[in-house]
Amino acid sequence: MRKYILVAKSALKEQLQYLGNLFGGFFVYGIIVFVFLQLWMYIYQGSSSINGYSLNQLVWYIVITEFIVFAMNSPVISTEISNDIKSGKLAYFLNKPYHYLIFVLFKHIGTIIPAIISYIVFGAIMGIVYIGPLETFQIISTPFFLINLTLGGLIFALIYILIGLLSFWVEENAPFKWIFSKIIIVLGITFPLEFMPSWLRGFVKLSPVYTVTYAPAKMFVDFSFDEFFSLIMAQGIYIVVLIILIVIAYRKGVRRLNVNGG
Amino acid sequence: MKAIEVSNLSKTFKVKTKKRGFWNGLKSMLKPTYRIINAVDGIGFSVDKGEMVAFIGPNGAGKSTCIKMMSGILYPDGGTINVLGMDPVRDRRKLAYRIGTVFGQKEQLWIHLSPYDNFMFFGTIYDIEGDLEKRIDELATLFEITDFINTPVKSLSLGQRIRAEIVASLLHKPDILFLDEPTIGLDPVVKNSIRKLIKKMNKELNTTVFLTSHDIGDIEKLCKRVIIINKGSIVRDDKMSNLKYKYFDKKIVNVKLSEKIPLEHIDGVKILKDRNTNVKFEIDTKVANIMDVLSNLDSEKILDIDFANVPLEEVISEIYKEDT
Repeated sequence: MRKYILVAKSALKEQLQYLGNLFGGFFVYGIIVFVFLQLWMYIYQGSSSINGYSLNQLVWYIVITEFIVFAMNSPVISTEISNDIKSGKLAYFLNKPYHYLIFVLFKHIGTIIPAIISYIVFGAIMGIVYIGPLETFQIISTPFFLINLTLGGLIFALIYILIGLLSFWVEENAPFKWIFSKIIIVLGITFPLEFMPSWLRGFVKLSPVYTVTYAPAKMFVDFSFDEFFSLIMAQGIYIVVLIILIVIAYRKGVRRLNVNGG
Repeated sequence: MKAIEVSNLSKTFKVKTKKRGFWNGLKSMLKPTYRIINAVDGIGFSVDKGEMVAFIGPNGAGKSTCIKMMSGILYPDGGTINVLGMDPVRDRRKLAYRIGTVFGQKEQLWIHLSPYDNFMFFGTIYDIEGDLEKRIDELATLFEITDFINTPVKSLSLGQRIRAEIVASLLHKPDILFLDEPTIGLDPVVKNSIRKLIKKMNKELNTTVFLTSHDIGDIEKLCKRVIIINKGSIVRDDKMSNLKYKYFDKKIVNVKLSEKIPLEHIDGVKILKDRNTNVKFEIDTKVANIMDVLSNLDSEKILDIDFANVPLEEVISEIYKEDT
């Protein structure tokens, strides 16, 4: 474990040299939430609650879901795995005394730490400026929300890792990344599950949206122990299944590894 | 004691083939066709502990594939490999602690970190016990990298980076060092210093060195034994001295004359250059006697004479050609 913590630390050290890159992301994050703010303000005209959410809750819901997409993604999981496989660079990680997949996960964690910290601060300020403090905020729910958030981030990373491993079989895995990111954007960010027609809810509950974005955002704006446990359960199942799939894909894939240049 | 034992090793790659033209391109999407390439085809050899072996061959001969199978990166399709008593595929991570690898064309270091940070990283990854800082200092001095040990790797020159790569791969005191074209792209001064350092390391630590290179200087200066492979099979496995002896029955003679003289045809003599008073020819000593050849030249007109062996580079390309 000490090794992998060091991997995260080294990735963090590298990342600290590029803190300036975060500012561009803040700008886009700020604009997107602002657009949604305008949209929902228009929709909420004359009503204080829609499907059990107040405008204040809904804007904070978007602040959290956008935070996951912006702060919890990194090139390590979204492009490096696929590049390592395609270029044959993976070979050079294989003869090191660590496991490549755990190495990648911890490198990703180290890489996103500066983004997470800075986006928490930026997102909190932005939310307060746009719509005021979260009216339903309960200090007691914070640790539970953080558990959901961490597991949501982990699932997000595991899905990207699995998509990255597809590069063992397909020349270009970009379409899979595109599909996943669009599902998250369309179904996971804009509005909560309760806003969807009932026939779609079943599908969304099975999709990663439920565990990646809905779980932490819902627990932040509208915490209840009942829902917390069912969300944790869903996240747990997702993590176990993803790990099994990743291990199978990796074991099968490594045997197929072709190394460019011999 | 053997460090590496390989027998009947083979590896094939399946490569997609594409026919020319748009329709053929579409067809191959629906029904792809493949070509099987025998990258390594029944190779066998062994390397003693502390030996320095050059493993050479033309591009695409299967050198790197072999190294990658020996270090557990690629899975062989057939045959057996035993490295330090271990099976590289089964014991890949255990073996990783005992071997070091340097691939001249791929960086293994974290490019945004300094060599020092990298060494601390690799030291921990390899569970180095004892004084890691002391080990880093020793190797940094040996490989002369103390001046830039705190500069980020991305700002280093190629020569500096390769030296840092070698240090990183030696921190855990590996028993075998696999060097895959370690001096590629380096200038002659840096090449020389790297060769000296590898030699010194082999002498002081008795590290087995398994080297692939296209640079004849690397091979000549470092290795007493050469394994030549071509098209996935071994074509020569011999001592460097034997190789030279066998192919060095040809001598290159450079003669500077005081005035131009007509050159007669002699069996076993090939004129390589005849420019005014400078003549260069190759004598096959199995066919012609050197003294007889020289007696054909008017000794009074010879201002200078120089004998040389056929360059190793030519010997090796001769061997490559023989087997193609």
